[in-house]
Amino acid sequence: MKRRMDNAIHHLREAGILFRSNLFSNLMSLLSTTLVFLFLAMILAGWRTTGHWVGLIRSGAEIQIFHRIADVSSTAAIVDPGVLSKEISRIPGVEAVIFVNAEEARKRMTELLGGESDALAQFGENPFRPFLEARIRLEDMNAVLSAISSLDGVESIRDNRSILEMLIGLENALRVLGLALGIAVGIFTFVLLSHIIRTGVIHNREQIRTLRLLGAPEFHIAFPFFLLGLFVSAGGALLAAGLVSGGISLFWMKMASPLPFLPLPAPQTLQAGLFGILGGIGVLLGLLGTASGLLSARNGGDEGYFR
Amino acid sequence: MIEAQDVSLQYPDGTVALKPFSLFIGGGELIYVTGPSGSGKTSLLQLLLGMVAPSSGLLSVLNQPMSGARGADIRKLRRKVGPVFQEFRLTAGRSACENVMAGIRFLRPASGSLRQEALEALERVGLSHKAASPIEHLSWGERQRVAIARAIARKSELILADEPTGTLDKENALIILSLLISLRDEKTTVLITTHATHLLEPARASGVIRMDSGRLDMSRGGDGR
Ligand SMILES: Nc1ncnc2c1ncn2[C@@H]1O[C@H](COP(=O)(O)OP(=O)(O)OP(=O)(O)O)[C@@H](O)[C@H]1O
Ligand SMILES: [Mg+2]
Repeated sequence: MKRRMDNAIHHLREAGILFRSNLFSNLMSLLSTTLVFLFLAMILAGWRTTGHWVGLIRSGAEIQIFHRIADVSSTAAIVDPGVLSKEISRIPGVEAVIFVNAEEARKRMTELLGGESDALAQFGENPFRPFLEARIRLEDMNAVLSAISSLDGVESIRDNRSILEMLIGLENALRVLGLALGIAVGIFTFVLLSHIIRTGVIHNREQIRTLRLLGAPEFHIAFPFFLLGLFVSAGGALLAAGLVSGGISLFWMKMASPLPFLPLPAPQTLQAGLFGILGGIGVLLGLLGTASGLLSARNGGDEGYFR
Repeated sequence: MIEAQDVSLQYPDGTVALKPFSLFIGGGELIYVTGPSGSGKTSLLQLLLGMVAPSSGLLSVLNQPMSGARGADIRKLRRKVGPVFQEFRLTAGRSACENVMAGIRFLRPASGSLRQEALEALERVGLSHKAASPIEHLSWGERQRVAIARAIARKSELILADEPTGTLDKENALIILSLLISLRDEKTTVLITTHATHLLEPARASGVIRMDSGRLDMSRGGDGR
């Protein structure tokens, strides 16, 4: 037990000596991994946020139907919202229809605007008009829309199809970008670590040879190199996750009041996800890159006839 | 312990460092290896440590056959050997104590604390006062003694000391020699190479290997334990 502790401390110190023995280059490497992981973290956060919005819009596909209302200058018949709502609810794909009168519409906007709602008070008369709100199945959207618009008394329909389509497009783009960037970050970090570790081995080949001559097991020799690799890779990844998490906390705080109608995903979930994903990728790349560096140094090393 | 049958060693560049020889060394022996520079003393020890493979013949060290041995087997064998390299092979930037500790860290038997064991070994070579000094601050003779302390600390079955007194004055050389000789017991075999034959007391050894341009000539006798 005592010796295990002793060895753990020893390996950490050796890793520290390795890091310091090529300080500038290793610091630059850490900076580089942090930067590339930073890009990845931002794309991931963006992807998760748009995904959240898409989910929100999908779960409540609601359309607003504005019907003809009483107008003195017109001879057209007044539409009874109750009748219209019955007709709409009979259309397949429509799940529920409710009537929102002008007062209710104003109240909703007041809630949405929160602190800014004083502006509404400037209108003496209620500027909002009543409408029907229907919840529909998303996949029947097109059929439902054309059925409703052919009904008598319907003036216009407001749907969020275009926003949804835009967000889905954005989400897909961010996913593809994230994936491509993820692969690029993976290759970059892998190659970088491979190189650092290889350089470290070559730098220390006399010490390594001595340890081999003294019979040290290979994992004992390799351990500090793995710690170094993990520090540069997972360290950079976690640093990036931390920075973006901090950014999210700040940004969310700033965005909460001016954008009340754009509900952002809970920052804690987003941040935990970032730490989990980036940490995992960082550790994996650290292990793989180090292993590759050790192997490549070995193949070009003093193995062979002299053991 | 060490068994050689018609073993020879030729380096890749064609140099024949050891001409075919046969010998047997049992447990608990003390063997001197003497001969002029370039006669093949280091080559013999390298063969025994598995640093080079025999070009012909059968060689086994501590029951490990050395021809076609796997890397892991060689590594295991080396853990049972306490080598003192002619060029010391100490790591600069680390203290004397850390260098000794580096030689025992991965060995299984854990009787006490690593540092304690290392300090005891340094004490035996008279260097406990330099335990914390980095290697590059030590004189050559002191470095040599650190290298010996590392071998001692390993408490191994086979001590292979290559020119362990090469950089020491006569007085210290005699102290170190008698220290190495004192490591010999029923279980521990000690092999010491040197060209400083005037320091040796052949009577104390169980055998002397005389080397000359790759030829080995072993004489038995003495063995006054
Ligand atoms: N790696 C090598 N490749 C080729 N020749 C070598 C190699 N190592 C040693 N030799 C040669 O083998 C011969 C024996 O060398 P070795 O180092 O064993 O001598 P030694 O008895 O230890 O000498 P010294 O007393 O000077 O240490 C020498 O001629 C040397 O030049
Ligand atoms: Mg030699």
